[in-house]
Amino acid sequence: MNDTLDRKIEPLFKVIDKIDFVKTDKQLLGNGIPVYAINEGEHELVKIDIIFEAGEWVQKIPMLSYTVVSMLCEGSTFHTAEEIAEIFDFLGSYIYYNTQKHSATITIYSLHKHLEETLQLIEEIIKYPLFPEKEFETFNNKRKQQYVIDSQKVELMAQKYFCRAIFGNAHPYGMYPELKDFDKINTNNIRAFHSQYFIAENCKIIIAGKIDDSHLLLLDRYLGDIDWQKLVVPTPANHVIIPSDDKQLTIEKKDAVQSAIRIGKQTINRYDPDFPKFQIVNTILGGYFGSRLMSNIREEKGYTYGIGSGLVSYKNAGYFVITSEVGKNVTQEAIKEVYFEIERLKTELVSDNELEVVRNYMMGNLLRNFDGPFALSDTLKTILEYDFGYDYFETYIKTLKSITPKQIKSIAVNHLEKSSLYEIIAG
Amino acid sequence: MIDIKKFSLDNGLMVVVNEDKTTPFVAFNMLYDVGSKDETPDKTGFAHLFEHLMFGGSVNIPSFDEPLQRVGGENNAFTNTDITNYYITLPKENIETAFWLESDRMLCLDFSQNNLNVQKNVVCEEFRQRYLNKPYGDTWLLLRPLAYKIHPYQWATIGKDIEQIENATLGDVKEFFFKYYAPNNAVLSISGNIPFEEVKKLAQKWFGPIERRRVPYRHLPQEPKQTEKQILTVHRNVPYPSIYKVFKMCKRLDKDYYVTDIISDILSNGKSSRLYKKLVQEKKLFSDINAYITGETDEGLFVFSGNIMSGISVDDAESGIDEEISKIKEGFLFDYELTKVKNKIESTIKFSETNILNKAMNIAKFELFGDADLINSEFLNYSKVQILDIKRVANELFVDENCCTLYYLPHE
Repeated sequence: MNDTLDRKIEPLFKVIDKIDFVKTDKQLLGNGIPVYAINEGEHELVKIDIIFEAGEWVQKIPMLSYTVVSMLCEGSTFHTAEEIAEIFDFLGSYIYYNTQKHSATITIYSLHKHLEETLQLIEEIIKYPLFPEKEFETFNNKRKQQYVIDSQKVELMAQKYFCRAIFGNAHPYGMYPELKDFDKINTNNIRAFHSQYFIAENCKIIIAGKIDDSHLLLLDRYLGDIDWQKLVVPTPANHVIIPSDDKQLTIEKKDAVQSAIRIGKQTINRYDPDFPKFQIVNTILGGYFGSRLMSNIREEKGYTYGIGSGLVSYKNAGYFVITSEVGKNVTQEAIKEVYFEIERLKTELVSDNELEVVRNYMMGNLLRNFDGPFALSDTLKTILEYDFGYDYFETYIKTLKSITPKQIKSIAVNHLEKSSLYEIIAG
Repeated sequence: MIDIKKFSLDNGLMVVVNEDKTTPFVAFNMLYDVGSKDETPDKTGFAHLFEHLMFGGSVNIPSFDEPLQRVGGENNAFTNTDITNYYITLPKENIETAFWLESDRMLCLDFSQNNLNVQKNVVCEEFRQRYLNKPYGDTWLLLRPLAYKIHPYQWATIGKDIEQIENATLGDVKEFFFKYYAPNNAVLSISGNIPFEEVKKLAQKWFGPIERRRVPYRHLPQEPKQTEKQILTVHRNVPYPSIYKVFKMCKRLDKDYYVTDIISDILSNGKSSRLYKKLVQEKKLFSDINAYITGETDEGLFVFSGNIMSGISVDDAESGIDEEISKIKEGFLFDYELTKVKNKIESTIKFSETNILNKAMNIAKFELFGDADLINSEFLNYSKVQILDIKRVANELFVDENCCTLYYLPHE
């Protein structure tokens, strides 16, 4: 082989040490709706998020928020469901409807040349939806059937009982719908929810892509009018977390060949100054392909196709969870290894090498969150929910750079006490 | 429009580059021209198992992932019937790390029995997780052998069964590597913030010294024309019946490919498409129905898959599909509908061009088809399709003798 290279030596690399935050321009529409504009990219297209403070947090009936936002396109005063679908498809505009814990969002992907017609129809379905009985029935029956199919999946079974256990079934973060809940939704409560929450005062907009004033003028023309102000802002709802006393639960599914595992607990969220540190601990444990859980349980033992951990932040609380689906005959062995890895974090110091890998990996990921207009708009959506500015990420970067193995150990000791962890197994 | 420049090395490696200065990242994609179609019937699932082994360290570098994570990179891979594709995204400053890692595992893998044993377990768990432990999960394990009797598309990429994966030996691994993982059997594509000249320099430095290998000439057994309809009925522990109807379609490079894809869009792309409008909204026969094409290199499949609404008979549901097929065959189609589908394709293509990883994967695929620049005539190819083409292709495609039906039913 004519190879004079020394392939054992890795090439020089640069550590990312800063990120240029793209300036976001905030303006108000005529009716006071804030619009955050991210002018990035060279393609003639935009992504728009129209966000309402109308998520699961404020719904009184499970799935109501999702049903309302998804049914906006099922008929308006001026167009039938069929016509609406025809127009959006003809324009090549992609519209997605989505509900989270605190928000209901309509996301639009449109080419510049079709933006005006798209927004025209968006105005209509937001302001004047009809929620026809017939379309609702079809929608609900479809969803019910999908629910029954999903109920057979072990990972969803485990997820359901895990969230219930740590937050309590009455809390929006712990709520998981039952089949009978579909029958509680009707066009009356759909309409009531819509008129209470889909109003200008409850709305914010993010627009991202190659944009100029003309696009902002379009937003103002179609969504900036005062005719959908209500002047009554919904009063914030309050919910109490009531975790279950039982920390262990096994749900049996006879024909399963794998078990789904959830191990975790309720914990701090983004408002807590420890959160970025906990994110680092989480990454080391199970947050990337080279994590300890993956290395041990997949790459050494071959017990699973995948295992990971996550730290999830909602506005009023957070949770930490380890998730995996493992062979039925190795479930107990896999769980034992999970606790072994948690203990190791609490008793041993992380090596400088491992910390360097995790640090640089996380910086790379952070940079990804700012790469291109679509990623930028997702990132902005997240921090707006907490009323943070980009300085949140400056703190995050500082933490990432300065954290020590000792601090990592102490975060693990404080947040990963074994007796505080819930353990749910389905399969 | 994607701006493409390319060159090849003396060892046969094709390199395709798209410079995109709007991003701080580079997407680095290595496509190997080997898929599950290159397996033998007694060793199915091997190409995919092999993909897992590619992450177990190479001759000079004990770990693939760790050095990449250390420079802020991400990576993964997939295998399908036709190709095996490895991809990396990383900050542009650190692009050389990708060349270093990817070239070393092309040079030679670290063949380790332990790694093989572990990855066999991992893949078996993947098999269980994705195909055995999910409702309707084994659909494609049933459909492929129903549709193909001779061609290696008759088995799914994951493999026919778990046992064949368990039987793989280190000898198989070595043989497979030297047979297919050669510079002259690969396309390297790069999209992102890197000058073309730098790619040239780095490609020559890291891949240039790897020797050309003897890659076997591919002569796959061709599937004879199907002459009678095929039917399979299975009972499983699922809550509702499902129906799958598949028709064999043309090869990927056939001129009728675009017509066939447009037919699937008319039937099933978006909420205004025919199947959704008629069969879900209006007649309420299905809770969910789709039509799509597999679009493989050799004759692929045009697939209808529908989950039947509770209380509806399988016969009624099937008649619903058949009626929609008849309408297309009769040429019942308006210009407006065709324009709508073309608009949507235009939009999809434009949005896909905003993502460097998408671009890198796609230009590699088109280079494999013969020329990366072909990607820029995709929209033109779709826009040329006329109503008469649709009628003609639908009549060739949707005939009983060309159909395989799978009834996937709950236990009685």
